[in-house]
Amino acid sequence: MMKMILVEDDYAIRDAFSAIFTPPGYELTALDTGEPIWNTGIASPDIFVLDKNIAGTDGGELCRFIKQAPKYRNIPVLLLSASPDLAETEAGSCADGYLEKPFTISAIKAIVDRHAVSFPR
Amino acid sequence: MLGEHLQVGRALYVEVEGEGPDTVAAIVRQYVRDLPPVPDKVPYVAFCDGFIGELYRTDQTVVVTDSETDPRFDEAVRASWRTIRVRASVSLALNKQGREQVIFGLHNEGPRQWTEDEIRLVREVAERTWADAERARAENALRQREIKYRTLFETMGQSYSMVKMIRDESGKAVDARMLELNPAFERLMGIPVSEAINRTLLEVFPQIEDSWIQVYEQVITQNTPQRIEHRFAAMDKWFQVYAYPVADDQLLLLSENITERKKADEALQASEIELKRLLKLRDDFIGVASHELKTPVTSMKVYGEIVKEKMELIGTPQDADMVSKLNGQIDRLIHLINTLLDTTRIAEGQLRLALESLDLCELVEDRVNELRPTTGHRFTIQAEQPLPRLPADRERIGQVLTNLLSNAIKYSPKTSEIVVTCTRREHTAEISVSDQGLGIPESDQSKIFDRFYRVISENRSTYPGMGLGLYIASQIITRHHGKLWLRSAPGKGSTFIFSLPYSTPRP
Repeated sequence: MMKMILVEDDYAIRDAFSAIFTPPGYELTALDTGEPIWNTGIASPDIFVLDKNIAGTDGGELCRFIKQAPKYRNIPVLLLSASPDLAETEAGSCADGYLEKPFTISAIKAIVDRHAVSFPR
Repeated sequence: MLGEHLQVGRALYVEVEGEGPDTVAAIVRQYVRDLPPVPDKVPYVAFCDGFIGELYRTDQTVVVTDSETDPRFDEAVRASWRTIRVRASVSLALNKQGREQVIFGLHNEGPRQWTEDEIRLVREVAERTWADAERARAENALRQREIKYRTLFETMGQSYSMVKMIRDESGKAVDARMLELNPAFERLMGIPVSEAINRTLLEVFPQIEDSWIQVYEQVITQNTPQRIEHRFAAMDKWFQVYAYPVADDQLLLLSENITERKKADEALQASEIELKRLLKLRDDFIGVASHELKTPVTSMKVYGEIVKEKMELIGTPQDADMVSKLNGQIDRLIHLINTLLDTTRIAEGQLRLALESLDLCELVEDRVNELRPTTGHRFTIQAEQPLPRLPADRERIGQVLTNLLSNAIKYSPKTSEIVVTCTRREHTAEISVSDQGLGIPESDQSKIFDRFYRVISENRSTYPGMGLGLYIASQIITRHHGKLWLRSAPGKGSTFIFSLPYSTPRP
């Protein structure tokens, strides 16, 4: 079972993720802020999926935090954005992969599976 | 004087005017003693034809003792002389360079034997009279010019001032004295000429900006006339000044009040800035709105797909068909949002290209094959020889192709043919898409690539769209250093053509 943490402030997208990434293949933790990752800490997942524009925190900042935290730094991070130019931003350069909204189910599954499996541990 | 001295009947000073048979002799001055005056203008030929004219032209003096017996005369000239009651005469012409001929002559009613002294005297007096007349003519011209300039000076709308710079010990210009002013100065500055003349700029206008003096100093240093727009803050006025350097540290200044024009310019500039701001606001709004639309549409798309899968498993074919249509409309919505985002990106110069080495004709085939199942149109692809690969953004050029193909589908009869050609040119690859549709009137052709422009058809509801597709397509092609154009006539279908260079020109 692949453990995924999604940080996304839009409830409808969180909802859609929980419809796509269902047991038994996936265990999804959907957060509306990055606060538990910053502060209290959270059990390490197999992959992080972060929205680029989360209220309160920038997805890019959160990505850099993850990449510097000893506990998380080997875990792949995917960024979601409504902007097609994500690859050229600083946040895009931090992430291991990115996906533009809107996406198809097959596209998001493909990119999540590819990164979660092939990422060197 | 001479006429009196020599006791002759008449002395004449005549100018010859005109040419050929129309030549006339115009009297400038005449002295009459016991003969009546000659009319102001007489025909030259009548009195001076034959030997007389010949002698005049060769600078010789014509001496006639008695015209009635002189064998050199022909009858016509002799008769003319009779009409002005002259038989003896001494005369000569002064052939002055670049001027009309002048004739000086003495007339005597009866025959007269002229002495050598008299003949010599006539030449001397003629020369002197000519010099006098010339001087009078020049003076008159000067006086006329003076009157003209004086009138201009007094009545011109511009303020005329002649100023002389005032310098400190180091030679730096610190002020300027107003030596000459015209009445317009008072109208312009509100100060009577009598209160300003022979005073300095700083005395009369204590609040004048230092920059005025500096600019005048510059005109003198560079010795070239300048047009200066200057604001005089104390009067809240703008002036336009033409400054001409003249000798002796002096400047001629022609000034006028351009405050109203300046204020109109400023207002125009302000409204242009405001217009730009509003356009930017509109683009920002479209950008933000379409961006925000993407989030709900993302989850709509996810649910749409999930429901479609479910319906294909457990629903009726009608259910599956309806969900399929729902998903089609979601995709259409996504396409519209992307179109709006592209538009704002282009407006902000943010359209980025991911160039790769592209087989253009292969892309044409891909896009035609994608659209083929969606319509009853017949597609023909004509490619005579393979195209070299060229640097282009696959997604963006594909977007252009899909746009041109969709337009062809949208604007032509349902089962008609759509012909796509791939042509290899010397420096470019050329793609054309031809339909057998309505065609586009020439009046619309230049505007068809404008943002939000739509050809108004008789029944506009038949052709939905935002009028952005061709605008975006032309921008994408332009960013590739290519060209997009069309050939079309109403009722004869349309052909859209674009060309892309094999290599991108270096910036």
